[in-house]
Amino acid sequence: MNEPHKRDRLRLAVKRRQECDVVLSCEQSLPRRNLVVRALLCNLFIVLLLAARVSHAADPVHQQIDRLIEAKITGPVAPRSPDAEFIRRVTLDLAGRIPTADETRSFLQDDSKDKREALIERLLSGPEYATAMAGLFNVMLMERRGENADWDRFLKTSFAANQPWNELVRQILLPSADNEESRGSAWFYKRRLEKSGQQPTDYAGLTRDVGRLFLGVDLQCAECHDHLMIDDYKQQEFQGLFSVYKNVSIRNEKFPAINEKSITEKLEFISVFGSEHQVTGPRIPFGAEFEIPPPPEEQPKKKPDPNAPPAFSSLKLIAANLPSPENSLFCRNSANRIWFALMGQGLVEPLDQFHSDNQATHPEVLNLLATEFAAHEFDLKWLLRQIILSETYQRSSRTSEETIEGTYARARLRRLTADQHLASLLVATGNLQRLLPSESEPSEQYTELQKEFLSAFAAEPKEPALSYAPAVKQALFQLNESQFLNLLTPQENNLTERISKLQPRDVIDECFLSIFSRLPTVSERELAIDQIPDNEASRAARIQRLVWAMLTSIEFAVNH
Amino acid sequence: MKTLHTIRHSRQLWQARYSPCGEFLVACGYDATIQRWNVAGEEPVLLSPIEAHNGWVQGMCISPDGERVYSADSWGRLSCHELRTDNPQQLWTQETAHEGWIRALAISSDGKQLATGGNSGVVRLWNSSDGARTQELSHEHPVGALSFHPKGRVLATGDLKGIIREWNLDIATEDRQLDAGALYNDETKTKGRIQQCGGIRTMQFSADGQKLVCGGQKDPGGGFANGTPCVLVFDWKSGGLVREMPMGSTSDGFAYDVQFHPEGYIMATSSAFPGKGPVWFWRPEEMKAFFSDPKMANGRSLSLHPNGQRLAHLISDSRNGNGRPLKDGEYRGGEGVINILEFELP
Amino acid sequence: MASSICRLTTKTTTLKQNGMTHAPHPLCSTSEHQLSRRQLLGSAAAGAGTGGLGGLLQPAVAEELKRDDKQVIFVWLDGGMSQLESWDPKPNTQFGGPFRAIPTSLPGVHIGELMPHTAKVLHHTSIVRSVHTQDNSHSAGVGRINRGDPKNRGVVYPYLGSAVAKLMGPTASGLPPYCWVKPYSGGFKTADAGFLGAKYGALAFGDGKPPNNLLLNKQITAEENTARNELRAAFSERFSQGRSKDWTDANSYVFDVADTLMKRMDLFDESKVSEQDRDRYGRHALGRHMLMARRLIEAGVRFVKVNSYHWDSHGDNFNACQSLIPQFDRPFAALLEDLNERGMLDNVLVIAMSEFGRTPKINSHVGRDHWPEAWSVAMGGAGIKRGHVIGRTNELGTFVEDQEYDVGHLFHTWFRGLGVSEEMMEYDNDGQPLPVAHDDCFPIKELLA
Repeated sequence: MNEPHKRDRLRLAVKRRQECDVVLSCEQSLPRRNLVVRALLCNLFIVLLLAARVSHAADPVHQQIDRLIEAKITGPVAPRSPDAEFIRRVTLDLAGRIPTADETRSFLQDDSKDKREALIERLLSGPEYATAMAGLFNVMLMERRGENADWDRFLKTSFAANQPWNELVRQILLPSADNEESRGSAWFYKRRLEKSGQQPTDYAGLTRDVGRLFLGVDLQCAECHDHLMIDDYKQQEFQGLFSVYKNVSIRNEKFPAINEKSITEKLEFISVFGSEHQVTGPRIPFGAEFEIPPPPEEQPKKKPDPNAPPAFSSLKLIAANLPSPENSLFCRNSANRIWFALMGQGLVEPLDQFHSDNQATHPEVLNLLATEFAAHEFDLKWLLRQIILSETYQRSSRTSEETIEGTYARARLRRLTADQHLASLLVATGNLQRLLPSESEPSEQYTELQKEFLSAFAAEPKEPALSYAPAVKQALFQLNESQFLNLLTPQENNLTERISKLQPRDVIDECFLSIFSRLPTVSERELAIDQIPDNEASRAARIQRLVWAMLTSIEFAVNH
Repeated sequence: MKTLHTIRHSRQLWQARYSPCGEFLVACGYDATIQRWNVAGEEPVLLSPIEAHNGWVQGMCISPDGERVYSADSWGRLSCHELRTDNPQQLWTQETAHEGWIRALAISSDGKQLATGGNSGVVRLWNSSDGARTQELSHEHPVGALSFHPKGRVLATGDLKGIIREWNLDIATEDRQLDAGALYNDETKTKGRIQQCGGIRTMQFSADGQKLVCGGQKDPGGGFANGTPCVLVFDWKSGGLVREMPMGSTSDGFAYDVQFHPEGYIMATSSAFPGKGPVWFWRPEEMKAFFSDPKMANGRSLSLHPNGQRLAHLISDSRNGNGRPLKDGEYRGGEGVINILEFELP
Repeated sequence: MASSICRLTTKTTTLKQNGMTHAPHPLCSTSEHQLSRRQLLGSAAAGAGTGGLGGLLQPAVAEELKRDDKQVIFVWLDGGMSQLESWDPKPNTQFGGPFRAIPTSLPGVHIGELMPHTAKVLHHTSIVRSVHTQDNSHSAGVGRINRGDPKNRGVVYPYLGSAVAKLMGPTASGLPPYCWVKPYSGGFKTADAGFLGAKYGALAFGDGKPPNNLLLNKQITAEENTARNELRAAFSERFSQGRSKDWTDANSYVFDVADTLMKRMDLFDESKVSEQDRDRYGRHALGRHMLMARRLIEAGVRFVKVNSYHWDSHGDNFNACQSLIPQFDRPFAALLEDLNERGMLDNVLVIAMSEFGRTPKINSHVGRDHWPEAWSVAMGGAGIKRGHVIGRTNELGTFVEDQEYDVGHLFHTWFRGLGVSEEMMEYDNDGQPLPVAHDDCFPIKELLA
């Protein structure tokens, strides 16, 4: 790819845009991708998909991943992660928290060869798996727009049952108020349909989010005209989906619910650069347009029940066809987002910029994951397992050699989600039992701490939480917030109480195992042991200082 | 109510008053002129204006003999002119009667004294024949209205904060205070607002001197600090509040003028958002107004003709609107409209 | 018209601009998560609205910052102050209202009589009387003006404070670059940052009060605080061995800023200010907040915004002005005096404005409505000349005569006056180049020192 050239083209377009009258000619001067080519690519994907279905005998997918990744690495490669690094990483990913000191200790002491595989299986079938996934996908899909108990239950039960990913998405795209277990899925729509202040309902925002989150395409710019820089993003792709969501409204219920009106005619739109009227029926971006059936001839005389399903439901068509194995964008976007969650780097980035001029860094890996994920009927646990089993995932984040960024030659540091961070804090400080004896009944103290913690650590509403974002308010929280500091006060068998009677050396080991999920190095032990005086009077305070310093250091704040 | 005549003036006006003989209608307002109409005949006849002021003229009164008009402007000038002549001469003027805006001007019942008050927070008394300053009283807050007691040398002054002071003019001291605080709101009462809202905008003694009324607005809310038009009636002897007379809603704004009808009831007019602000009549001894008309909106002043059956109702005709409404390519301002009404009591 | 050059990933350039020195690997084709050192430090500033670089820069850059240590006080009178009762009076004309105009320290220049204090020090600022903007509604206008009303490119532009935080970073003080003194609530306000992201938001002091958790926890002594931070840094340092140092630096940076802020608790203590100063600025909210702004600027904050609300005088405008404008006049004059006395006006740009002016026409409610057609903005200091009056309105004050200036021109003028270099005059939004101010506007030359 000739980057400078592209930049020039962009600049040119910017300049042209300023001379509004020539924009159209500029547009036309850009190379247009042949629709036929795209259609062929799509077909190719289906062929690959079929091939994947019959090639199960090949190497396990995790090995295929490793081969494809390693083929592109030039330069040094980090070693395999030490056991401690691995257990911390995988526990964070699959249980949403760091391991306890005991878990780490027994994992380190375990001599069996397949202990990593066993651990992965344990976590995948463990009780915290569903909570961890619900947390991850709640943040990904709702972007901190607010919490809802029905939605939370929908996510947790879905992940607990390992419901196929496309089915889960289908329930989001076509929520049903009749099913108590799953009706919370309407929260995705409902929250976005709520008006904010005097602003009108943001149907365009909802349309955009469906594209971004489920198809990996940010069509925002295509609302008003064909995208100027991205040939693939046409206005009709946006408008077709928009025509569906324009007819969706909030249904007045105690739980999240929506209503849909029948579409009776095509949506007319016009580019801000042109005067030509265009029309589109409902469509999934980059898919075919759906036919609008003629309305029933006899109009009912009575006022129709607004909660009744529409005569023609375009949501139903969207739900049936968008999250399907035949929809390559859906498959690739799903694989890319899950890969990103585990690797800290998307195969396509930005995550919502899938288009033909933005190729994946490792197209073969993306295709492999997408096709196999579909071929395995969108079994999320299967996909997680394959990625985690790969050496690529299991590489260390530490190496003294210079590796090349973006090649997966070493594990990337990842930000902890605010939820992982909070849960890890409670685990590390031994306060989980005290504050959150059961997930369904959080203590008042926990709720209060959670509120303050999230207000300091969670991303802002509507901002994707993708990269590490330390903030002064987080620092202030850790420096001075009483509830946080209180976690360090010895009480009810928490960490600081537990270690108060131990020998200094054991204090250090226990702190490292509990907080960093590893044993200290020699120099770290020296550093730490100086902190623990023989003097009983100041001992407790010094232990708290040690624990605080570890908890607030960068090591605790990242998944490494 | 029947509209006999409608008089338009190309600028908005603050006050329109009949002369005591009923022959003239005199008005003042935003264009710093005094406008006169001869209303003795069939149709009102516009006379030449008096041009002696700056800014706005908000204070105006006519001598009991109907010979002179006194006027005060927002730049601090107080003037006296002939009223009845074709080309009225200035009889005297005080260039700096006050520092800044004079908001209120009143004349004693014997016509000998004038009182002025305004933003500077002082009240001054003047000899009406030559304009000599005779007294100065310190009211403290900006004065919005004042009125001479019909009997004796007593003056009442009302301010922004809803404080009414009674002054004994013989010894130039304050005798007492009456509380019209209901007409004032500041940030302590209007959450978050940093503006002092309201104040006493108009004040009048009954002819027998037993009652004092004052007008303004109550309980301002919303974004624009307007409240419900309200008139307070005090028993002058005791100083007690006899009746609170709110009318309309919070978008109806200020009671800008209030007058006693010779039969003892109170007439008030009000204005806020264009198209808002009723006129109402209310007997102090009754619980409710016996007449109110929200269509008589945008009111600024009321003046009863000496015959008791005609009313000059001054309103403002100035629509609101953001941005640039041009009419025939021209950017227009508001106008003053005086409706001459004939009325009979229900 | 909604139209835009939208997002595109031109990764190579992004990386270069982010200060990566080595050639990017062919696979290294994404910008968003490529945490270069500078990007991370920028992001470290996060949430605090401390977007920028701070003490962790290479010396050369730090030196450059020092040389250009320009600061801004931005006073926002929300709702729209009437230009006719303040900067551009038209006494004795059809729409002039009741007030007089008074002479000022600038020969031949008059302003409204409600601003006697400012009149005495008017030579310390300039007035642009030919401002002509596009929006007469609050809902859209506030945002449009605060963002400099750039061409619509499908992104939400930052407010001026966030823009300055991005373009100039914090000063050497280590304090957050964008602080906001306002009535009501405080905290970390990120909405101003627009597409720049939360990290360029404002640290707001609600009614002048410090943000949550700023006070050193009672359990912790100052010595203990130092000791625990040293130990934290030691652990972080060890973690970064064999790993990228950027994350450690970013983490340390926010703790450093927090620590700097905690050491400046005096800024939130009004009793540290002389009674005389408190009287000069006035004891009302706007007076107290502008006094605090001066102290924040003295302490080294890059950009201080001061908000005052309820200037939307649709009704009873003249009484409203009589009540409101003195609340601005006194502290504004005191601020100019103080900055001048301390020799700070060469480096501190002071701006006072609203989202629009008010209609010449006085409505039946004795109010003035919204008027973007012809209004005034006061500005001066740093690279912006003081003591000048730019442009004029016609006799009635209804429209601008000659050249109109939109807020885009003002943005260009301010950025230029603050020394923002030509090459910084474009944001890079994930590869989408975005001019920092409206492409068709230009700086007001007469105002540039």
